Amino acid sequence: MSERLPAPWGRLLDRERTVRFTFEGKSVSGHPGDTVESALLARGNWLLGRSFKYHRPRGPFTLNGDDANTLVQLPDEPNVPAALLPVRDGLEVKGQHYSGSLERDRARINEKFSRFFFVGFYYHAFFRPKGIWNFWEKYIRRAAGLGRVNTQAEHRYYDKQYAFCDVAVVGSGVAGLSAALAAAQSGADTILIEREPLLGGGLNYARFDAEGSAGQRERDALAAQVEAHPNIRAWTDTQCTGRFGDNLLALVHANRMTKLRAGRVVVATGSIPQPAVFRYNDLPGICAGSGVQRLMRLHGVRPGRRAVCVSGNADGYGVALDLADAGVEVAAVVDLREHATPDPRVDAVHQREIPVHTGAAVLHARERDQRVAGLRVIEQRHLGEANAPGTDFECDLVTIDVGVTPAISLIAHAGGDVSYSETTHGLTIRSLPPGMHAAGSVAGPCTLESARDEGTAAGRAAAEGAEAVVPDAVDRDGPENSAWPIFPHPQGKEFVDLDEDLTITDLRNAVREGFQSIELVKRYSTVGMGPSQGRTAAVNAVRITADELGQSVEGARASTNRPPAIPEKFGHLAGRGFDPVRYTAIHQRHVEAGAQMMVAGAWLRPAYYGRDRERSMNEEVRAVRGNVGLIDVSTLGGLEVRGSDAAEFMNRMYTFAYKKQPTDRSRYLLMTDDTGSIVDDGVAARFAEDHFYVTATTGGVENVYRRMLWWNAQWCLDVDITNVTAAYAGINIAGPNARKVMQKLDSDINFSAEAFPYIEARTGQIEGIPVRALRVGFVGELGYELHCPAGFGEALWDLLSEAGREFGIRPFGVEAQRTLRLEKGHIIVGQDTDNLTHPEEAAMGWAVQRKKPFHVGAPAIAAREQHAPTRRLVGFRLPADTDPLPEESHLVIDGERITGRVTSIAWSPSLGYPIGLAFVAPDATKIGTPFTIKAQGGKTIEAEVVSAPFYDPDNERQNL
Amino acid sequence: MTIMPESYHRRSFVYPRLVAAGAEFGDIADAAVATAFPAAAAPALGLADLSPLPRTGIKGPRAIAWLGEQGWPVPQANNAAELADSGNLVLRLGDRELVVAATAEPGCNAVLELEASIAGGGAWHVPRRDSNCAFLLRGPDAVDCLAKLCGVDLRTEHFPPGSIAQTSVARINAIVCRDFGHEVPTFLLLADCTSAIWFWDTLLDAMNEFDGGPLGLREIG
Repeated sequence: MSERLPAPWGRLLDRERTVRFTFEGKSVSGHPGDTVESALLARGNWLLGRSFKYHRPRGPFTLNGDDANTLVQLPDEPNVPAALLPVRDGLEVKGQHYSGSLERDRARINEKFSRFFFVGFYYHAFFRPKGIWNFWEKYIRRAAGLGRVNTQAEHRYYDKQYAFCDVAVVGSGVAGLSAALAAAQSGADTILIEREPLLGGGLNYARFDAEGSAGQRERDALAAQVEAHPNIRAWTDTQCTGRFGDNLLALVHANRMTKLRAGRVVVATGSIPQPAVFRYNDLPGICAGSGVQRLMRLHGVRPGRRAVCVSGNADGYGVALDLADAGVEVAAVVDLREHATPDPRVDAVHQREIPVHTGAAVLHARERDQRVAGLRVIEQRHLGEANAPGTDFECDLVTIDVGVTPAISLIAHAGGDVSYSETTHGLTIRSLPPGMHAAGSVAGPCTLESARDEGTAAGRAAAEGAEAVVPDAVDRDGPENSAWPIFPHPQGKEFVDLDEDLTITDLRNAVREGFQSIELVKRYSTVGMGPSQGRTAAVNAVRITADELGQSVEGARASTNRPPAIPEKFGHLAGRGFDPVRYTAIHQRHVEAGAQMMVAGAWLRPAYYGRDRERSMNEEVRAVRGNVGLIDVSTLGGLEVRGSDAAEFMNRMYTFAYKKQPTDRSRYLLMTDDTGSIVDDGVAARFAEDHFYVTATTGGVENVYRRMLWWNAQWCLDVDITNVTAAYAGINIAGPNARKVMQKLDSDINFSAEAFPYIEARTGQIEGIPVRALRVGFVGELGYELHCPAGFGEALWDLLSEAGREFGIRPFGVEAQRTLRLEKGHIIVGQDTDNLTHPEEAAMGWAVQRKKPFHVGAPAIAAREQHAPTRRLVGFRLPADTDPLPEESHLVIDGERITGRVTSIAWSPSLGYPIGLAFVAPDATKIGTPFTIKAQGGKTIEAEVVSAPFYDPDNERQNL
Repeated sequence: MTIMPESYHRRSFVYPRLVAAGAEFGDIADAAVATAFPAAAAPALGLADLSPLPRTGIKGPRAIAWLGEQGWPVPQANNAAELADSGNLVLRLGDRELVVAATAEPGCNAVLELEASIAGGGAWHVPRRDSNCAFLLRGPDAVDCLAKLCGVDLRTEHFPPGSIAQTSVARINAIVCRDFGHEVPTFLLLADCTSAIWFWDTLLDAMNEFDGGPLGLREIG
């Protein structure tokens, strides 16, 4: 059955093309320009959803996505508003929240037990007797929520964009278009934001005059000027979800969130139609009059065959005229007012002999086939009477025009004061925040002309930076809101909040239970907390609450309004996730060599080369011990410390002594903070009197750099500190054959033992590549740490690899390096130390120079050493057959007492048994002392204190 | 003979990406620089890799004075750039720090000579050619493209040629400098070289929307 209207109805449709999708498994066709909602309504399908509690049939109310009656399920996305979902070929759409099918929802049986689902019933149930929750939980979890998340859904591409303008105008109805033009004509760089696919807002569909042409005329004139103006960027299909500090607006368009910084904002967001409250007012086919006009004008859908127009102002008469023009039989206009205010649209309805009932009240709607089938109307003076005389209308469409509520979200976000007014029977703006203006029906009901004038004034004021004019409620001249479009029924089911299935009685009972303010009523009843966030519920809820409390609605506030104004996707918030990765200059070579890369902070480093971790690690360790290996140490921190006070600076920053460090010598570095705790270590190579090249740990260099800058900001020494970590690639070539490899290369550095002994440093070039060469002993073998400008890093690696080929040189990764250094008993700061470890505890007292007058942490170290130590780092071994090995951070215990923990542990390929470092009690450090480790699952393992270094204790190999 | 990056000791941080994109390389300042991408017409929005070109930093209390003494134009304010007669850019990052960068072939030698002459003593050398990657983004959509990655207002009226922002671009620290002498918006982007590959990929991803693509040095125009 097609309910399509011919052109010029259906302005958005491309009738030349057809789109096919499925709804609940059945094929549906539409046109480009349709939404899923409009396409379904075009075939007469008004059942799109099920209500939350009672599973009553639901269809759209606002018909523009402001209500949440028609949330649908896509294969990879739940809770999609059907009114905002454009049709496309192959779309698979389903309803939500039903048991069985949308058409035959078994859970509607809940409605029969509605007296058990009174407001706040869950506060009184499901927990007695004790333990009963375990029984109820699974049912409640199944019943809770609406759509289903597909956890296998693929991530989609979202991104973000920043934008700037002088004036942002939100909403492109007559007020917004006028404001944008006025701002642009005043010279402001203006962005006009419109959530619909076309400019114009209500001008595109509302009927402001008897002929029905005023809106279109106004729209065409204004939109043409806006689109032509060079100072205006018009963004359609764009929703503003929130206003944040300093007029930062969050805009959502397709898969993008734009963060727009506006100098000033004009809010022209219009208003949201409100429902009348009567028994069964939630049936599909009962909807907002403006929504019906929009459905006809933009999507070319005839909304029914026979309509009743419930109205509290002249707008409802305009709806009746539009329906008649579209060929819908209008059974009656049911006017809640005794006397309609003079309006050409009212006259036109009378001229067309459409019956009008004034002073009317709606008793109830009637249902057939899960859609409205009729309406019973009585005279208001008979309200409350049993068997009141009335009229029963047969109809399949009921339009509601009893008033609107201003869409004030952005004003509220910005801290504007908005509260209810007895004058307008709705929200009114009491104050506007700085930098924000308001115009049009967002400021209260107004005529087309008033909205235009207000928009123009607001746009100009915004462009000029003038103060905003706060609209006065008494000046509003537009279609009035009904003060009380609420008709209680003795049998209830007069829905106030469609999202939560809350009725008049529910709200009254909440007040009677002691919740004596709208805020508390909201929290107790959950009114306004559903997906539509009270857009079509809050007004009536406030009225009913105020009435129950015996209070005036004047000054009443809806509950706090915060972003987002519309549902936001996590995808929009996440945007194009940026996870920067740092690669060394040699990265590609590691990948080519089959390295398993590991994450080290933001870096990727090779953990080992090959597929079998244990085997690769052991082979790499053996290669270094017995032959020669190559490791990329580019991630190590590098700092240039230069200046006439460089040595003094080094002396103050580190624990050791540097003033007399000769040029071309390296020296170990240990840094403590001012509590005397170890924060980093490294090596300093002195290349000139006034130049130290300092290394730091990969993870610690940023911290070291910051500390250096911070301390020198106070000391004001003549020293420059530059972080050159990224500027230098580093390669460590280590093993008994390392020198042989180096000597194959063309270099002005003499790599012989005599010319370049251990702990010295050289600068020169290798095959034309400038290098800084340090002899260091981290892995305990003959080795050279070569630092070259990063642009040469890969080339240097290639040269070394080629030169080492005849020796079978092998790259080794971080895992092997950790084992190699452990075999030498070298600590890793941050692993073998913690935030409180001072040098003596870590057996590093030798690195503290006691004679110099000061270094950072010296006073604290002295003070702490006055006290008896509580722990000490020792080396230990385990029996060779220990399996599984304990892990780092496993405790060292003495009976029930914790006396320390394991900090490093590994199987030693060089020694053939497990070794490690651990904190133990100070009286348990003697070589040979046994101690107990509590491992996984509480298993205890006996360890033995041994001296470190474990391997080559006299350090002969690194001194070769 | 075809010039390939691996034939040189100095290699661009993103050369694997350039090779994969079909770049043609030229021997410039002892490195292989991508000069063109012959397979397709130069895109309106293009990203050129200037990383291998000479670039040096000078830092310290004497940096500003020293550079002026060498006859180079020194910007009067921080976060401002000047164009030297040699065609090179002088970026003033702070009261004690400058970067001098070549953005085209003709200026390379002048930068190399300047770098070799930095003597220290309060005007210290900073190895910017190796600490930073350098990309040039140019095209009518360059501002809109960067707006997806950077929160600074880079529109011409707010960020004219010679403007510098030391800011965050796609979550990494970057120096954004609006270059001189182009008909379309053109930005020099300096970032940590270790994130060069990631940054290059991220920029191209952002440029996709505008049909952007890689650009050779000789296609910049």
